[in-house]
Amino acid sequence: MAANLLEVKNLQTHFISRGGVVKAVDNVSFTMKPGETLGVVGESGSGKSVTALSVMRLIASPPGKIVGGEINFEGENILDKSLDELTELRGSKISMIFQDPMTSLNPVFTVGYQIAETVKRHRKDVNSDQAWRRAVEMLDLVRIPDAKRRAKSYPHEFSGGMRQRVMIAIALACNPQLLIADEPTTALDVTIQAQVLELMKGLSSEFGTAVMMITHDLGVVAGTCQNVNVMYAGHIVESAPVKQIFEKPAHPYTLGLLQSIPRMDQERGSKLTPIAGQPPDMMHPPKGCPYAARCPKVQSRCLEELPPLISVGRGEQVAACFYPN
Amino acid sequence: MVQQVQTPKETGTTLVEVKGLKVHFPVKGGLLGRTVGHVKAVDGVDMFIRKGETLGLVGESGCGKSTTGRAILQLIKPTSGSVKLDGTELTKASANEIRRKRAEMQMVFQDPFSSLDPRYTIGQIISEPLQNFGRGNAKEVQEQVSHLMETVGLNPYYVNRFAHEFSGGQRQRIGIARALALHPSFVVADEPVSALDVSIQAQVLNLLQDLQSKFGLTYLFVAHNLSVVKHISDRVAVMYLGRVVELADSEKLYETPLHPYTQALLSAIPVPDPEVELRRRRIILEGDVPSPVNPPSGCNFHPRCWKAQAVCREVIPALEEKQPNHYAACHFPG
Repeated sequence: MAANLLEVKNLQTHFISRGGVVKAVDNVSFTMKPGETLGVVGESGSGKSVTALSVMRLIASPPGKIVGGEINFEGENILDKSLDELTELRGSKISMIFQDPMTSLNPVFTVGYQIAETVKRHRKDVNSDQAWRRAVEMLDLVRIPDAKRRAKSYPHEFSGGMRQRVMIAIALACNPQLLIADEPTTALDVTIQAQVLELMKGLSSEFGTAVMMITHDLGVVAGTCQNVNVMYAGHIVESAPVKQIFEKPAHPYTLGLLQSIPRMDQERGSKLTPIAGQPPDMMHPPKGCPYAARCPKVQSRCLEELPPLISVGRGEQVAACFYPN
Repeated sequence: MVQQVQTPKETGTTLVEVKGLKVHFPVKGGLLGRTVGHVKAVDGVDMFIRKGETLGLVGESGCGKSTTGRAILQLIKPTSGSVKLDGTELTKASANEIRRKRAEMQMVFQDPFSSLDPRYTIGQIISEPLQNFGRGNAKEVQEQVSHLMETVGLNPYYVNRFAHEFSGGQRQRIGIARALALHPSFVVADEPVSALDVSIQAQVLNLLQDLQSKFGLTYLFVAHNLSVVKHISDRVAVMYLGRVVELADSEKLYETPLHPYTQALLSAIPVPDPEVELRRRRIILEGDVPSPVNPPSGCNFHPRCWKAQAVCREVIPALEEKQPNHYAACHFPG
């Protein structure tokens, strides 16, 4: 078995405000192998984006702070690195794509320049001409028609889907080992989403890039990921290969999520089973299991103790629940 | 008190009839701010909505689905075309007549964060339509407000709180209570659940269905999420670049789409099941939606269509009944 590319151990990222401390990510541990596609799903405020930003060391401080844990990338702890070392790492070995393609490109530079800039920054042996050629090559790779001419265009001359493809081109320009995609298709229409996901799948398998796909859309996870982490209120509540998550969800929250989404391939008429109530107030999280207040299987123990992530006896599937399904 | 009308779905009776609806927005340009062109947001929409049914209106951003919903309610003045509600022509009605008609047609908005006035209490928000239409004295209005709050699953105890004290799902319930205050027969719901988390979405969808069967409401449900639309709609209309390209019973549309755009759109939607995803064949469309300022000639889908022939570039296909109750605007359907 290959060594782990990424090992996150007991990560704790907190946000400190006047009103109190929000434990946005609370004791999260997981690993990723080279070339693996890992889906991270959860609702807003579950801590999925904060986990990704922590791996990139992009948590704005203050108010945010990584207060504990380890993030080992290729065996080295990212949390011990200096700012210079981090700048070296970001964009070359770990890259990130953000949700909003409208605001993540610089409006005053051509897209070709922005891709070339990334290449030059990380490859000392590359001159400007070579970097520009690489930029055109990348645009071609992400299927921007007439790449040579379009490299001289500015971001506002591109549509949303094309801008997201430019972001992918920038992210992949230096052949990173890990690509973190934070809701890469949420701002796009479905037909454009299909184009972008297809492209990402193709490129990651072609270059052997590991992808951490952060999304709230379980459909996207089913179509693109090998393994899935389900997050709820700052914790990973379930982690398993994609097939098991959908076939035999162990955590009541995962099951609740799956039952509350309407599916296009199913007969209509039946009523949805919503999850009752709302996620907990992160300023004052409950003692015990964070899902206890909404859980149909809740027992007195769930209100007292925080369940650890343990095996449910089906291979690699783990769930943080005392009474898994 | 909210009256309870138990109307079965009367198939056949048409409540809303839309013919040749067009909404063009002028584009100003140049030094003198002259009109240099038009955004053809809605460019000839035909549809009808039966009493008691839910018509889903789907399409990608910019296709004109929200503008259609607003133009039907006369919140945007249509450029041309006809909209009839229960036989009354709305496009020719005076401002006063429209005002009176508003009691029968209401709207639920997408964003529960910006569609509620932050300076009003929940009680004031829900009672505003009642007061505007003089429905009862202060005490009666108060009673109606608490009843409405109960109907949508809110505790009337919170009547004096402000919108910001509620979560997204609860705010959407407030918006629904406001829309129902005057007992409308027709409600346009514009993306009512797309701003909500999935676990909350299901709560609001179920509420909308419950209210429909309780009060015999007719819905125009505008959304971009085709799975949600399938779940809630009896019939579905698909829009592309300002026109309805297909309209059929929900089951039929999803099982045997006739228009190539509908086929591509349906194949693009991710299904939350890895087994199904593995077996599916995707139709990946080339390129982007063209600009509605200068739409393509003929069928405006032809530059992206894999079936396009010469005739598609020249002749606009009409929305025709290709199969019983299954309408499509395509020269080569199926």
